[in-house]
Amino acid sequence: MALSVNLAQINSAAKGNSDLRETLTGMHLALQSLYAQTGTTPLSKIDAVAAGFTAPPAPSQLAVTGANGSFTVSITTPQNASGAKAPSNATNAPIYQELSSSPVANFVSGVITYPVSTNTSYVFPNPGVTLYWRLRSSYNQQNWSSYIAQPGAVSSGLVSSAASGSNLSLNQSNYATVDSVANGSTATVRVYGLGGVGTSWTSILGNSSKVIASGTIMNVAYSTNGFVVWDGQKYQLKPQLAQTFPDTWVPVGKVSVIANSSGLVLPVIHAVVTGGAIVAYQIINPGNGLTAAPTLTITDSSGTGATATAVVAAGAVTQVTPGSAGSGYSGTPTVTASGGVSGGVAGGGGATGSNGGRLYADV
Amino acid sequence: MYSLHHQYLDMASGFHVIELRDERGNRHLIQLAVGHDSCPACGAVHPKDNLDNLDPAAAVAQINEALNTSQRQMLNYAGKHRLTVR
Repeated sequence: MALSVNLAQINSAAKGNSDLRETLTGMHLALQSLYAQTGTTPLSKIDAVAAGFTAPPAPSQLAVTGANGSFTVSITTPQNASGAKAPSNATNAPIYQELSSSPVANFVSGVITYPVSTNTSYVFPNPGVTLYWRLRSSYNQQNWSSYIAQPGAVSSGLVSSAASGSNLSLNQSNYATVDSVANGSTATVRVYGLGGVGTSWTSILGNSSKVIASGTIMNVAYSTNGFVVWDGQKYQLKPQLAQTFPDTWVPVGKVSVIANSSGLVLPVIHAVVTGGAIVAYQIINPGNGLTAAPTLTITDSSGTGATATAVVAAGAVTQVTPGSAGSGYSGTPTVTASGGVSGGVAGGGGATGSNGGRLYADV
Repeated sequence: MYSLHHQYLDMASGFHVIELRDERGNRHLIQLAVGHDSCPACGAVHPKDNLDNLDPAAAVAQINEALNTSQRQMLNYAGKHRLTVR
């Protein structure tokens, strides 16, 4: 306002009063100098009408899920909500959403506020993190609704190998074969490359690769599943492999070490027939080296329908439980046992899981 | 030809580790399991009960012979066709 007063106005106002004129002129010049030095301009009176209050929209609905190392956020706006809240925002006005997360439920620390947007779906890659989520909405980004929160914390989980392609920076491929062979009373697990037993194999991690020596692991007990890893110096054979293990370990493969056919003796079982039906079973030889109940198949020239189940303990059949007795059997039906080995087939150890070039996490 | 390079007992894993090497630096590991995998309850590696029956020297001889037999066959092939061996 001061600059709107010029010297002519001062002279007119102070007409006949030189002291007043000099005082006002001095003030005017001083202000002019001050404005010139600071680059400021005098305030202007504002007579604009105050903006009206825009009420925030009804709360949107928030759903956050975590999987494969990412958070997936889905927001349902009031106009799209079903149930008691609908319909709201009948004009379908754009609704701005402000999403935020925190590692603590009360959002007093570590709060991340994501850019305001009218989007209703997001995917945030953030592996191995557990977060709480909340949302507030606005029509004008000035007046916001109260926060609504996703119930409970959400974990993004770890990225599975199936979710990524081969040989990405964190993915691992290998070209090893892991198998086992019978070696008397114990098994021998072999790790080798494409050239066959005794040849090295290549492990690829991201864009780098290394050649790893072949190996022979001896004196391994039968009937054990083994996960083979390379620890940088030697192979480890673990009955279970933790979800997380040292970075220097290289997953190699999974192998089932089962008894070979020479150690496996299938049971010999006879059926007892009365009136054309099989009423009991006689164990002639309980067998040996069984690691699972063998399948019993009953054949006969005339009879049909009989079933039975073998019970195995300590590697041998201890009991045969009759099922259906069947009918029309002659005096000499044949009971044939087959299988009897868990984790694979009889006739020597063999890999149950091929190491198909993916990270171990899929096993 | 492969021959014994070095060997040691790894108490943490329960393996008698035997490393064979040939003159070109190729390696092959023989690992004799002399202990069970660490006990989930106490974390210790317990010895297997057949240690008296294990014959590491025989295992080395057996594997060595298998490896060298294949290598001899390949070298014979290379010699027959006058190939450079790398």
